Amino acid sequence: MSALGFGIAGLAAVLLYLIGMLYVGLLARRARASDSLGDFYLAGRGLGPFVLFATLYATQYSGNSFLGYPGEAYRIGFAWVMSVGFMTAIIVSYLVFAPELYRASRRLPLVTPGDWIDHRFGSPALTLVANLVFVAAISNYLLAQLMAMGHVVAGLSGGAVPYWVGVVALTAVILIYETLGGMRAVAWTDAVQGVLIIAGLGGILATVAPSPAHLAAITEWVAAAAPEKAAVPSWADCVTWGSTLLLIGLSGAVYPQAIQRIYAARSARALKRGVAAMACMPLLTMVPLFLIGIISLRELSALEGIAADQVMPLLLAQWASASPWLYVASLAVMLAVVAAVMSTADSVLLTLSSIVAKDFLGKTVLRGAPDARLTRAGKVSSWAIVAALVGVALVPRVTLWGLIELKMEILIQVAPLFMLGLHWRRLTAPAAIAGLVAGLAVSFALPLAGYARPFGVHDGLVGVFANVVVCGTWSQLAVIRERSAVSEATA
Amino acid sequence: MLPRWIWPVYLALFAASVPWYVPDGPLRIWLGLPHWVVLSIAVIAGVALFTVFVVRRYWPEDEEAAPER
Repeated sequence: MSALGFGIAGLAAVLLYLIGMLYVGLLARRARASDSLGDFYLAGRGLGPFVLFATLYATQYSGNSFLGYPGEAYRIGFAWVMSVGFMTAIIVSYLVFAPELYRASRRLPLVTPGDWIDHRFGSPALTLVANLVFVAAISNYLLAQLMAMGHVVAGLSGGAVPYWVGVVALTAVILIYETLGGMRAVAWTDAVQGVLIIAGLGGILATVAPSPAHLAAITEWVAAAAPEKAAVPSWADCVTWGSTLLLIGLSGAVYPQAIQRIYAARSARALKRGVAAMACMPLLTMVPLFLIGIISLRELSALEGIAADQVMPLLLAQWASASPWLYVASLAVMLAVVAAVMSTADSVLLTLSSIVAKDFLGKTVLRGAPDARLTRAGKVSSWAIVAALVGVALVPRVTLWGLIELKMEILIQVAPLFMLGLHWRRLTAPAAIAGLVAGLAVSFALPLAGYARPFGVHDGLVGVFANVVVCGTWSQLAVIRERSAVSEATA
Repeated sequence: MLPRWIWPVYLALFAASVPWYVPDGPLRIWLGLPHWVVLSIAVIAGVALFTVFVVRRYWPEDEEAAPER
């Protein structure tokens, strides 16, 4: 391998791709209809089936999927097949609230997830707490993407391009095309990036092409070298597996950027087609990534103590040096990884900026300001958010999977606001606030008190159970109080 | 609203995707992978197909005009 992992051709491919993204940003700017928040943050609510599917797909499958997940398979072994299940669980969780939320988005001028919470509960305090949860969780997610950018560039260039250059350069490109075209630019670039990801996965399959016999040899090797990675999971592991399905399934569905894509759909039919296609994507995406992690167990067995996040770049670099065909296939995968990271980062950043502009500034210092001014404030806040997070990303201290788990434990606490709030009329604002605060308190208190993951169940899941119990009990008590007041009045 | 009967079906499918019911024993390989891995992937494929069916059959398409373009 040359010093620059993929050589000049690899560097040229990445540069060409980045220039292409900037050009798409320019096209999106030309296509804007107005300076309204709906146009900038929801692409005028006009995303058709293909772009909607592509942006859902490219947003959901991120740097975590391509870098963190093969790394986890390398770390824990075959039990990581649970990743196929939890990515599917996210789509199933959509079904709990997406049809109703979409209908609400046709009746009401919803832009942020907080807009719907505001409309449903009419409580500024609840909207504020929920927005703080959203911001804390997705800032964490954005940070993971920024770190992934650095890892990708450093890993794929064989260390010739430093980690910090990757973080800063790719972030700058995202900021420029997003400032130019908002959601339209993000969705269109996501469409290109989604195609690249699918082409890259084709490249992976073509590169690895494991036949059952080849896989069987690897499985037998793993069972001999590290039996715990191939054994049937223990009862305790199965509890954690089930807990992970629920944690990721429930929290992944209420990512604010995913909720905004429900608002941005052109029609119910477009949204249905997008969701139906997404239900099949874990099989087509996570299975190959899982297999890569498993294959790396044998291929990288000579390298001791490598970071799990570096498994994918190391494998790609190894394959690229094997033959010209593998070089081309690995290059496609490399571009797909870059695309996956950037497509998630841009969506998360846009959503963060919409929450800051509309829900924080628009309800305080910019109350009553015209849409154009809020949109400008959102663009400025994007740059400020990124500046702060790049500072943190340049000094990474945790693994990508660590960051993902951290945000899911927090994010899951807002799931009842959508999943119960849309279906259960009796859920009141005070009950929802009490539930949310109780859920967060339990999630944080368990690890602090030394009882992290009781019986293998994630703290966030225990927290959301407490959250729902408090919501239910508080709302029922309110009903009982109301009835007794009515009966006293009539007596 | 989607019919309520789909949720117990999902619960059963996801429960079956976790290999808690597979007895520990010597390595059994199906299609090159440990058999419990193949079982899990097959059940998740069932979840995906069921979801496509539910979305196409039960998700209503009644349209209202968007409030703002």
